[in-house]
Amino acid sequence: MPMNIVENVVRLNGLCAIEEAEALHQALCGMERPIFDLTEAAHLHAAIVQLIMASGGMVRGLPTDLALAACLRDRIASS
Amino acid sequence: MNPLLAQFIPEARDLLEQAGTGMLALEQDATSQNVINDVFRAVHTLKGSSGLFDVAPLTHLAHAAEDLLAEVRAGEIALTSDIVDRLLDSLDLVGRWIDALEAREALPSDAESDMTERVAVLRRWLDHRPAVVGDIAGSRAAASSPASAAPAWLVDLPEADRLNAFMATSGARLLAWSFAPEENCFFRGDDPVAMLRHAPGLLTLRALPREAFPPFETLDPLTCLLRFEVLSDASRETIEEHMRYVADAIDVREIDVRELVIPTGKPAAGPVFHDFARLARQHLEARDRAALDRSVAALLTMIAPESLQASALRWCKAQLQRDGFESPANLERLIAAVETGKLPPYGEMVDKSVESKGEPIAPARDNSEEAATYRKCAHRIAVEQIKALETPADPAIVQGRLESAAAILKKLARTIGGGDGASAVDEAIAILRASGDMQPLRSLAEGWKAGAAKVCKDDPAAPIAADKTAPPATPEAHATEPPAESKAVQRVLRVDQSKIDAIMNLVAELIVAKNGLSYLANRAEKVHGSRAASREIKEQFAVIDRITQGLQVGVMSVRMMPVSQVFQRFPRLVRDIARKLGKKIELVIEGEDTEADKNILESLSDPLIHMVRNSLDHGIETPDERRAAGKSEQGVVHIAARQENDNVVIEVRDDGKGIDPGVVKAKALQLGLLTAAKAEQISDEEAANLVFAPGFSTKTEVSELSGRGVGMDVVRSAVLKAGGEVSLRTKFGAGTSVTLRLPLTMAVTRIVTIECRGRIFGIPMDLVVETVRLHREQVHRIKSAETFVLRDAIIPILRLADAMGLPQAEAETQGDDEAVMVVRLGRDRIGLVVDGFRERMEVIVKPLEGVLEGMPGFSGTALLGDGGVLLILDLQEMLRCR
Repeated sequence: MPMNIVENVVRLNGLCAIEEAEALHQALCGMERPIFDLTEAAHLHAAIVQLIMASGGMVRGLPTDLALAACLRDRIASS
Repeated sequence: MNPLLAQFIPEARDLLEQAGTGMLALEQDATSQNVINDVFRAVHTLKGSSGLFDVAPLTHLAHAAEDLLAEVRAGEIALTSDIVDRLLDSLDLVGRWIDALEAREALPSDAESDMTERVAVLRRWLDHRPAVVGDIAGSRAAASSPASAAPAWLVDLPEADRLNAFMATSGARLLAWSFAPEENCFFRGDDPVAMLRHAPGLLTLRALPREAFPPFETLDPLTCLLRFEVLSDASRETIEEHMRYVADAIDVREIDVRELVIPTGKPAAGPVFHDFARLARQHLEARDRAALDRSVAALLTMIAPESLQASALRWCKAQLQRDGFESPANLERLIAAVETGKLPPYGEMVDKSVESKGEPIAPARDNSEEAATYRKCAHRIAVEQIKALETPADPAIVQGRLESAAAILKKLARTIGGGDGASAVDEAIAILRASGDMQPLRSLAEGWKAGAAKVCKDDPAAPIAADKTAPPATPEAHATEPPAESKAVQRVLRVDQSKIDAIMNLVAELIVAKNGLSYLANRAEKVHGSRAASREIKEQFAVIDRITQGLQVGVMSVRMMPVSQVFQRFPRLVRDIARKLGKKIELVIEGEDTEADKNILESLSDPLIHMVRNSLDHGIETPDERRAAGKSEQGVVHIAARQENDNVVIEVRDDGKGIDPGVVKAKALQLGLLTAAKAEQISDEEAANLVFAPGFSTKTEVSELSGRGVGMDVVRSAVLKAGGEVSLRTKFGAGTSVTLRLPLTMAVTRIVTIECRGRIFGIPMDLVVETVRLHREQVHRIKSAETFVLRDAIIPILRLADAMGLPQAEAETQGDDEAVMVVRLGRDRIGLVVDGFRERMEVIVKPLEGVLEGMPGFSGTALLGDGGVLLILDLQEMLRCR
């Protein structure tokens, strides 16, 4: 399972394909300031990237892939 | 047939159609990048799909066409009419092969030789590749020139990104491009992020919403609202090749690397900046690198890092690190920015330093002293990088740091050493990545200092050009690369027409069966005397009636097709004919979206081609004639479709020479279609309509296109057969317009039934003008013909019973009244005397088949609710036979 949610921490692992987008959207709806841990994410589909950006949440760990990290680095938690 | 092949055939036809249409559009306007992309994609897809089957010649030919189109797309080859001719010709051949595939599941035996010949022709352009000439190419070049202007978003790119990209690239130019994927791209299986991850030469990447995201709850997770901004150290071609399936969505600009140098922030003020500028200029003058570095570093520690000056200083530092004193103008510009808080425009700098424009590093290479300085420099940078790598950091950042250090070191190695140096860096980095051992990297850097790295003097240009496109992505990234050709999600069903026809036949039977219910209701009341049962049946009937109507509408709408299906072949036809005849003709198509039943459209396509050919051949004059007549050289042919009530109306109009009524009359006299006396009487318009008479042709010589004397007659009979009508208006010298009027759908015909000698017949409702009852006295006899006067018009009378040769009924009612149905046949009205009018109904008219086929006077049969068969009269035919 590429998605693992504990309270408001969303951990995405491995290959996150478009199929996860709707589930992630559901899960994020109504979640207060979600925090994303993407350290283990090998790939995030553009739809997932978009959801992370749109959710207004923060990213705690960026994926190792540079390009992927670059897409989301604006959302990196400042702390 | 192999189901895959069965699917390929219609798909291939669509693609050919698409490519053909696009090609014609391109001939008109070669600058349209969208169109050329469409054509390219169509041919590319065709080539790709054809590879699944044993049709090598087809694949080869498509490949050759694709290559040629790729060159056209890249602006390397101008698209001349000649090339279009050849490409169309090749597509036609492919079309014929597809037909053969459908018929025999194999290409014709001569396919191989046909292919070789055409491929040779197509390749000729590729090999010669003439210099880009001509209007088409000129306008293309003009259109693509703004592509080198730096995009506006460059300023908004974070400074760190620009700095990284600036440092990581060794060339003087790089690509700044944006990518705005289509909103529905996810449905096509596209993953923009994956595409970008594997984009060659990726330096930096930024994802941002195209516009502000909607509230999260209402966001559709499957709609792509993203836009990406990318800096790449790659050639335009590699990027365009990488993104070829989304070529419409990208905007690639080639920029000078110095355009990245944009200090951002709030300008600060103070005397310190002037002092710095003075000092810095002195150092610059003296080429004292160490002193300048010191000044920059010193000031950086003094001022607020978010100020514009700090940013300019950071750029200064980067510029020095990257190019040393190679870009004095740029350094001067940055110093001025620190001094004034404003970056002087880029142009001024260019004026001052023409010599430094272009390759910033190359000139230094010949000088061994300079080379030594470079190596020293490289060593310092390398040491800094190693230091950075040794600093403990968040694991998330380490990877990025490693990558960027690797990129910088590789560039350094190339600058001072050559390919060997770069591979040495690769090895060292690989070891570091695997074991965390920094030693190889360190000794490498030491080596640079000592000058151990080979200074590649014999071929100074090569290292820079080499391997520009190497992606800095991690090796494992390649493994996840998606298949280049991700199949679009098919949301359209391709259904064999026979299946739809089968459903329609069932619906037709249902309608007939439904009509049986109302018959049953009557029977229940009259024969069995049960009113209640009758009423219940009628209630049920109403329900079933509603459902069947819905069903009928549904099936009909499936069969409806836009007339563009028929129209789309005209641009090609007009182009070919115009070229053949040496005329200049513009084709204007209107109302392509108008819909009509597929069968109607199919029956229309041949008559329409006749009409268009006639317009081109007989209507539009040659450019000389047109000039003489005071018209513009280019003739215009309009093809317009529109819907009027239950009809689809198609008009073919030209602004040619029109029809000369005198010539038509003379010809009609000669052919015996007209008596001399009648020729005197008829109006010009009636004369013009004589062209519909069978065997009529005014052109004396039979041209290849029209004039075989079958033209308009064929048009008319085909249209009448489809239940439509055709009319012609012309103004001599000004043009002709032919209008076809056809029912939207043939499937269900509204008829009115009449009684004649105790038999029931059906007459299509469309023909009926009105019904009247006549007193016997009102019927006038003119010689042998009977007529009557209806509102000041004389209408001839036809007694249906006589016309059909029906026997006299035994007890004929000799009432005072005659039931007359006035029907319109073409342009005439005729009063049809019948014994009585019956009900109206909707029926499915089936053509006469088998032994009944070709029986004159009837257009078909329909099944009645009580199981009886109704004959539908073909009044046109009946009158003609009389």
